[in-house]
Amino acid sequence: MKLLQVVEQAFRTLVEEQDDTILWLSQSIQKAGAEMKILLSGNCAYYAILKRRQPALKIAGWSQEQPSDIRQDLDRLQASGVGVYVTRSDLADRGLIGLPLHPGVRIISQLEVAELYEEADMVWQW
Amino acid sequence: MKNFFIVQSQDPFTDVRAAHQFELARTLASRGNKVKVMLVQNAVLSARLDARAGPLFQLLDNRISLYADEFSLALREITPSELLTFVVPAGLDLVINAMQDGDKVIWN
Amino acid sequence: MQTLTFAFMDPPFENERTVTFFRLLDAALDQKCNVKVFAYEGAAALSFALQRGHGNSVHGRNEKEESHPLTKDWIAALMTKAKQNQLQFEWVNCGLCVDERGVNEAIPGCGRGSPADLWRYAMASDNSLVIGTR
Repeated sequence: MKLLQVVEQAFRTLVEEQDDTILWLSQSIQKAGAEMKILLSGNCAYYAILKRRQPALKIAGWSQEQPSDIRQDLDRLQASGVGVYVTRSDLADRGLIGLPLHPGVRIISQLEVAELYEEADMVWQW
Repeated sequence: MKNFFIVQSQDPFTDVRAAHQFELARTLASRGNKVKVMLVQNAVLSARLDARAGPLFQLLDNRISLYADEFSLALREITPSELLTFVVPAGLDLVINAMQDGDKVIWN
Repeated sequence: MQTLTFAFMDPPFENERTVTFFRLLDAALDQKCNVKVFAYEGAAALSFALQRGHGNSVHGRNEKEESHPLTKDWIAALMTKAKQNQLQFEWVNCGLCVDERGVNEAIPGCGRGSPADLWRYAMASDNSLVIGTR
């Protein structure tokens, strides 16, 4: 069963959960045997161009010890054979065209998005 | 040809993303897929006659069937006669039937 | 008899999505489907046993009169309906989500698991629907 994971809610949980909870879940179900592709949609296009680990949050003397690292999440997913995609239009809308992309992430067109939706047996849009 | 059933909760008045989502629905339909869209929650607001819901008209395509959740309409006091003519009031059993039929059911 | 899997993320009281989600579960049972639910993130609180109603001075109603909806009661009602109709209704909360929110006391019948259970459910089902949060 081929799964397309569409990840769209960017930066929502990166601080509190110390990861993107959908990329985390994707890694979890991949280990359980899921064959999947991931589409970084909307503002998640930003995940494709991040260059650093997230900054640590500090509140009233409390300091975060393990900020999230989206680059590692993308590396782990791709190392497990998961294709990661981002659309040209989402990058362009956000002024990100031309910036270095995370290695292995593929830029696709809107027509290719439709192809991803068609070829998947299941589309989980988070 | 694949069958897609989209449960559309995001509305074009509040969610810029809705226009992109309607565009994808149209693209899927133009490629020969069967596409049904059910408006739920505040998305039904865009189906009211005279609403300025320009992006919704992307779904005005005879390859796309458009529905509006009856309970969402009732909460907002929108009667069937106040809906755009191409929008059909329906219950959520339509979503379940689509799942039972093996459609790819997607929540926006 | 078909089996449908649902994944949900929203906690109680914050969004109309929660109501639509429960209406879908009810509709699934009406269509004679077995139902499996994976409750992720905030949805882990939907089955919290210590949810309590309250009176409402603005409404002018006491606790009994206000009869406040509680999602734990909706889950219990769905479980009862499933049983009465010889259908299966399974609910599993993401365990880590439960722990970090401190909602460890779930109503009877709700289990604790992980995303691997979502995949297991989906593979044992005829179809699945994921409702993400915003």
